[in-house]
Amino acid sequence: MAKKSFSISQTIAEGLSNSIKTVSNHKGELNYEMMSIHLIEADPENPRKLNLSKEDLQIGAVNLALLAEDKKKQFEALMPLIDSIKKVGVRNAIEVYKYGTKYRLISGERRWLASLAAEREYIPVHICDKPNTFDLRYLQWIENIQREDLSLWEKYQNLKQLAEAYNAKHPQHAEITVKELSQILGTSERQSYRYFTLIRADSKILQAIQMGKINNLKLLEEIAGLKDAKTRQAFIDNLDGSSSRGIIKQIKEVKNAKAKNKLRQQGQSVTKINLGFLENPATAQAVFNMLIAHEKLSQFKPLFAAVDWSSTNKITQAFRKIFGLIEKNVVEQK
Amino acid sequence: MKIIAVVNNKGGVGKTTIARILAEYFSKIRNKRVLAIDMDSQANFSNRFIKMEADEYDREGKVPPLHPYYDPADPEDKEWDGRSSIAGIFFGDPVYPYPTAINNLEILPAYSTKMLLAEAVSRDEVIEKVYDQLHKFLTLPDLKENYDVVIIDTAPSKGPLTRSVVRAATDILIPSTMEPTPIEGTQGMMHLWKTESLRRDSSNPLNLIGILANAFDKRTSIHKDFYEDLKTRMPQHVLDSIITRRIVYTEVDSEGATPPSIFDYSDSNPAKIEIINVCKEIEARLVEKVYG
Repeated sequence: MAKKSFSISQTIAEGLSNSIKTVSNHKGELNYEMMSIHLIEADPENPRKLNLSKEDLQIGAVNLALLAEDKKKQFEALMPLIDSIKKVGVRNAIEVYKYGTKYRLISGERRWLASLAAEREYIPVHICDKPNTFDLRYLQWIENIQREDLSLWEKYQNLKQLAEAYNAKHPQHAEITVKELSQILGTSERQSYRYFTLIRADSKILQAIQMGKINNLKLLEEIAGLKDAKTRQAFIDNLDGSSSRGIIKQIKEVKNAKAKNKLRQQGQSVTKINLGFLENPATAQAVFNMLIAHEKLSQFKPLFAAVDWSSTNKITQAFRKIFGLIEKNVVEQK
Repeated sequence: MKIIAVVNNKGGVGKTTIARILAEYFSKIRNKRVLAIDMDSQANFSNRFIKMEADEYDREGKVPPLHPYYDPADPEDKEWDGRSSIAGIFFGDPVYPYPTAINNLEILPAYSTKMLLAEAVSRDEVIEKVYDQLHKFLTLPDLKENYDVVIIDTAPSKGPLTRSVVRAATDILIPSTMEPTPIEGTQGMMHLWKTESLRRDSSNPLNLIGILANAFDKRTSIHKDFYEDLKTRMPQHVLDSIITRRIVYTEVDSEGATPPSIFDYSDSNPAKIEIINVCKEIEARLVEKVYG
């Protein structure tokens, strides 16, 4: 009789293996619970704040008429979400991390505030480990950048923090590049170049952004692209926060005009004479020696004592110099 | 404080035997302060250490004896019937561990009817409360200060009581005989481990000590083959040491046995050597050797 042999069934083996892999790859990812809403607070380091605060929306105490104008608008924008939460609750857990005895928001500020307004006592949360600074800024960026009502200034603040966190994470690298920004943000290099311009904007441009005068990335890119500081400032001074399309067109026209001028200048200039080209340094040196032997130039021999006759660059420089000396000491003296 | 749960939803694989061995190992041999908890309504674990009594309302059920510290004349004990069990945590009753013949080993015994009642809850919100209850109890500062190790025996089930144990544990051990149905039972426990691991945060992981081969018969191909196969598939999660099938383990489990514990045998006794190897390996696999 053949030797008996036994093995675990394939189904069980797969089940066991699946359990081990899942724990190995995903432990802690499903830490969800229904949390008392009073344990949650906003993250003061998140630049995106609805002007509405927890206090404005204290349970049972919302009085629309008493809110300031901007808060009223935000509250009105929040109303559909508040209604939905009243009916069916929050469908997707907000993300929080533990901070002392409370929990701070990573994402879900609107759902949280709307839940407060809807007088919900509990909210579903996904408890995460406190993200490192870079991951936190990145999560906040992802959440914030989708929102159309985010101002350029707010985007700037978030992006600046993201870049700072990135640089802190990679101290040995030079500062973040356009390519790296493109990879982090998942945008095209074109778009990330605009974000890059935003991070690098000078104080005058930043001031204009903060005041709301420059309110989109395309306008920023065009203004920052003006090389002349006076022209740049003139445009900034004339901005009034209205539609930027017309202004972008004007800037492009100014840039085009300048480019045309430059070309025209380059076309008119025919003052240079080509004396031919030499490839052999020895020939160049021989020509040079003939020139420097001139009675009016021999006094300048010491100036050329250290010329490296094996370097085409140095030889070219020596000839430029001697042509200048010839012009001054030989031609003009006549 | 380590909280070691001994689990397998297949009966007869040796959970209670091994839970008892661990409770004695940590208290007698390693001199730790041990709390044994019996979460099986069959109350066999409790019966190893204290003399359980038949429930007068349900003759098949077991109740703990009167607590040695119970004094019916004491006004403080007026509202208490003198019996205490782990089931008390589900009903808001006082919970007093019982001392045992081993100096630093105490036990919170089962109470059959109350535990069956706790197991029978079906409404979602109540179930969640049951799941969390043991964890809440074991995180009480008084308790954490008084014990180094908690050993919990469970029922062969995946019901609310076992889930509450998995939720409370720091480490789980899955004994199994090397036969098809018990190994299938390990899969159910691995699934509980997986689900619990997903929901825990990283500061409080659920460590899988591993699958412990029990009642192993070296003469049989089936035991050897299943063990090798399991070890090949999950090398990190199957203990290297095994417990072979020996009559002495049944003997020490019977009432009035002399000696009453495997640890009372001589140091050269093969069963004792084997058991100490197993216990040492289990101890080494606990994530942090932090006691107290």
